[in-house]
Amino acid sequence: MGKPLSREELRELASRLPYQRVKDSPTHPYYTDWRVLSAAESREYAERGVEPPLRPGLDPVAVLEPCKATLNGGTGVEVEELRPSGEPWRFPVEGRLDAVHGIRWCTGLRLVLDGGSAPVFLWGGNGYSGYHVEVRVKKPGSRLPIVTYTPVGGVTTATLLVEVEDGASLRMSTLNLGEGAVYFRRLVVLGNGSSLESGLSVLGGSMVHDREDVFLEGDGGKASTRAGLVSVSGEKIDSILNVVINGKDCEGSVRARGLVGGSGYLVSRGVARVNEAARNASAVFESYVTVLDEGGRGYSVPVLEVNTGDVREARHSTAVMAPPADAAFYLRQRGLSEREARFLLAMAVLEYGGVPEDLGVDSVELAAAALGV
Amino acid sequence: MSSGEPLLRVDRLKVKVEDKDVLRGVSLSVREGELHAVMGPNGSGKSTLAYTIAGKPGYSVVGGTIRYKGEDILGLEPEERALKGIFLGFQEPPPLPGVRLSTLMMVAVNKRMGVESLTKAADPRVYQRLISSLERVGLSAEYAHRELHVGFSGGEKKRAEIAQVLVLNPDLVILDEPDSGLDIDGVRVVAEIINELREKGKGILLITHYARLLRFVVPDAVTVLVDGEVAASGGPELAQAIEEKGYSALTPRGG
Amino acid sequence: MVKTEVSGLLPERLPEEILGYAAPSKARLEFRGRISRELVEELSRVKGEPGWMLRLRLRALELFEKLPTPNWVYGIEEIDLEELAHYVKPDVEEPVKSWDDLPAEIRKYYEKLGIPELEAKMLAGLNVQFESETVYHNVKELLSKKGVIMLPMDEAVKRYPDLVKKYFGRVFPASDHKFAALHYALWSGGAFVYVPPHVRVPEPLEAFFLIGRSLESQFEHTLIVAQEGGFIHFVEGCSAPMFKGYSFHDGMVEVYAHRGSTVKFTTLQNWSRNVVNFNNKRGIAEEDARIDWIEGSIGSKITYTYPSTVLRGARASSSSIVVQLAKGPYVKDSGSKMLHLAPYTRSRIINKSISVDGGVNIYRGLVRVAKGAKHARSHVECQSLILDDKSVAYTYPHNQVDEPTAQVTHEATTGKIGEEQLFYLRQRGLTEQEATSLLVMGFLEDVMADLPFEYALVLRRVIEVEFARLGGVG
Repeated sequence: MGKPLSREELRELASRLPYQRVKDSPTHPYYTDWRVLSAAESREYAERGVEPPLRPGLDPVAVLEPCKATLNGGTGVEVEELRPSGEPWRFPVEGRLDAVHGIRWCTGLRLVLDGGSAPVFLWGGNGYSGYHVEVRVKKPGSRLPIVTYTPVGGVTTATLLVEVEDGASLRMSTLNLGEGAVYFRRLVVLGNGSSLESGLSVLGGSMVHDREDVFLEGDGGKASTRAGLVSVSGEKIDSILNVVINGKDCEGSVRARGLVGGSGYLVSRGVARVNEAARNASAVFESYVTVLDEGGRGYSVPVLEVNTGDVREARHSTAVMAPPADAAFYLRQRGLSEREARFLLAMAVLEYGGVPEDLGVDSVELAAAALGV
Repeated sequence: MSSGEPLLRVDRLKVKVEDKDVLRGVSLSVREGELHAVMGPNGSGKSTLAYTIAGKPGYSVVGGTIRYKGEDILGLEPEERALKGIFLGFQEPPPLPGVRLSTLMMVAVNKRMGVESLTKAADPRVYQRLISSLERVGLSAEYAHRELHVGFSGGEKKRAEIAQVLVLNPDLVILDEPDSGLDIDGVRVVAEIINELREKGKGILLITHYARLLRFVVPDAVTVLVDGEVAASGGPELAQAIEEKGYSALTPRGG
Repeated sequence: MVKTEVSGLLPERLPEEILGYAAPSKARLEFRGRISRELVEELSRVKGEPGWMLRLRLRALELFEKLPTPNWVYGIEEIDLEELAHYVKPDVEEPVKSWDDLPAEIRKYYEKLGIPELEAKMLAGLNVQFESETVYHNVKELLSKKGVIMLPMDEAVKRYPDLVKKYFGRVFPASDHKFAALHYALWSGGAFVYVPPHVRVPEPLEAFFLIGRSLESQFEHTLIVAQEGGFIHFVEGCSAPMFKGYSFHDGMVEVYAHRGSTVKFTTLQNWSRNVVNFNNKRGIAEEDARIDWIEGSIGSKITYTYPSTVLRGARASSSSIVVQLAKGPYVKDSGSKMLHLAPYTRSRIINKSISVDGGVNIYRGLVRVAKGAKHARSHVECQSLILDDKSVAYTYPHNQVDEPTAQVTHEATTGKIGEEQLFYLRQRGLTEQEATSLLVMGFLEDVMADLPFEYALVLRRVIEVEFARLGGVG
């Protein structure tokens, strides 16, 4: 993790750092549209959080709104409010927005999971909202369902820092409901013999930058991420799912499914990195993006970095394409209209990480929200 | 529908695909409780006939008619035809990543029952019916939750197609090479099911290159297509002749 | 078999061992120091170039000064352009047509590499460059009879100005990156090839480049134009003897494949471990044209090479096959790029890398399908073999699809040689080294199948020799 930064250092970085140091590709220098997200620097704080039209069927242990936390508590969970203080900022700062977030976030939580489930809702508002959540997972069987929503016109930045202690395990389910501009970074560090199962559903917004970094620091750790991403007309998603293996005998995998409808834009990228200290590691990155319509753009950037010859398995495979030939006709032959066929495909993608089930969200409603119908 | 009208009547059907004449005036009919086998060498237009009846986009009818239950269906969308009871078992069904067979069947049955909700089962027995259908065709219940046709072997695909017939209970069943890729046990099961369907009064259009399946099911009528035209039609004896002598015997152009 | 017959193109031994230490060779002219307008003007003057070429150079120089150093390039900071000789004219006034007319110390290099025999055996034309200029150039009469032009690039500028002007710098613009701009400002040497409509050149043409001294830059420019329905296979080979310090190669290849033509371009790169190698390659394929890149990237200190095809016409196709070996403290940074701009275009990329003894292999690829390139298809396969704990392999592919009917698929695997496999072969009596070598060759087998027989044989030998040298692999 980056070195802790004081508020002064953050201010200095926020004025000096570019949004990103290295261009993404010769044809497309920035996969994230930073112009949209730059609103996070100057927008007034939102007055209140806005609940999404789609309400998860779970009771949250905490609901965060701009500068307001409502705590409920739960079993096997400790929860306390976290406010910006003089303490140094620990979340890694790589670009300008990280520094801006470090300065501007105003509501947060500290959670300790002892095998319990801790649903957390982050409601953005019609202005800037900034959240920071720190989680320590102490026991196996812990669950962390997270829902974030930002209404049209709002801009939200959020960071989530999770440490899974030796032998503990976490099922994390993230639903990023998009709509407005969202910059959401999650960082999970796993110890010896600990494991993470991460499910993710992301709906597009004016610009959704959704990034998850998983570090397998201990030996024998296991981490798997399954993500479903849907972006339709006018929406943009830049999804980054990274897994870094440093411990011995670890398994890390990232599997993403994306769907682009209308003139949507979706980047599914990530790095699977096996470092020198890792031995006998298995790293897999898979990403399949389906582009349904004229005007849609689907990009995949699966990066594999292997720093040792002692790997059990390291591979990635990706595809960007139209639905399989005949798929639309096949579904229509079974009696579905074209609209319903699209619905089914969106549902399939959004259910991929198991998120709707974990959050008590109806997949049909979720698909409807994603397709904007 | 008048009592004399067959379930399906294809009359002098001409079809173009990508500007190529594939069917050049094909006529045949399928009655209720009848098994009609369409045979022919590769590229003779058998699959095109199946696709055209099901209404696949890109298959333009440039002449002739297709009547189903007495109604001209050429103007209907594929899903409208499906909801009227036409089922096509695909020769090469496409993989549908993320789409479970159980979800598809739920939606498909709901649509047939006129229920709006896409996934809330309107008929709680659908799931049970799916599981028993899968078992019937020799697939475990686990296949209900697998992504449809993703990583399925040739035989598994064929079995999964047949299982859907049992769930959806269509009136006209078009099976495009339902036996290719199947082992002999699979062929037997498929034949058994076809016979049952026939007994229940379903009309079956069976498209097959080889006569292998016809050892287990005796067709009521056989039509042989060659180069998009009907080269011969007759009864079960025609299938027998093809098995013995091959298509060349029937091809006026000498094959 | 035929070991001596084909020994020419790529040596069975490391280039520095075959060529030994660089022998002093006389230079008639040498430009060093700051890269300035005066220097570029002087270069153009001694070459006796037309005004348009000087203007092109000066425009490129301006770009070079403006463009930033690419920040993603691994290890580029090692190059100090100020200390290099930007132009070295060897002691040969005009390209000769007979090996006997070359100064002995230059001729010796090529003889050691067996180039004259290779020429006699299988080439339709050969262009040989030493330092900054072509020193030997010979083309079979048959070619000129068919109207095929093959000339040293410098000569083509003077003899076919209109033809050259039409294509030079149009495929790979100077503005692309800093080192492309530098190349255009200082280019010297290389070959020009023109294939008239519907002419098929049955035997390969070859260009061979040699850098004979330390702290030198080589900026050769090769331009290939195939007219409608033409066919050509062009091969380039590179080598250098061993010297202290390093040298810099910033060459460029431009290919223009008109409608229905086919251009195969094979590179067998075996620079000595002193050469920093920037190899810029790009082709444009019009309707129904095909461009195939094959690259065997064995030698050099650092290599940057990204064979690229712009698929501009409907049904154009392209493949790029790169085999790269990074052994020891050396780096191979490569990647193929395919830009699909028209319907029904096809591309295929295969990258195979072997990292050993601390070697670094990097793949940076790009497949872009523009809107309107309906039914475009592309498949990318990257396979990396890492033979020990110190070595690394990175894969950075970008797949960008703006067209819903397109299909871009990508697969990559990184792995090691299985212990089971090694044991199995050892149980059959092979040493660990032999077994490794055999498995590496197996890893490359499908790529070898795409190479002309003679070249595959040469590449195989080079790799075998490289592996014979590994003490205790695994």
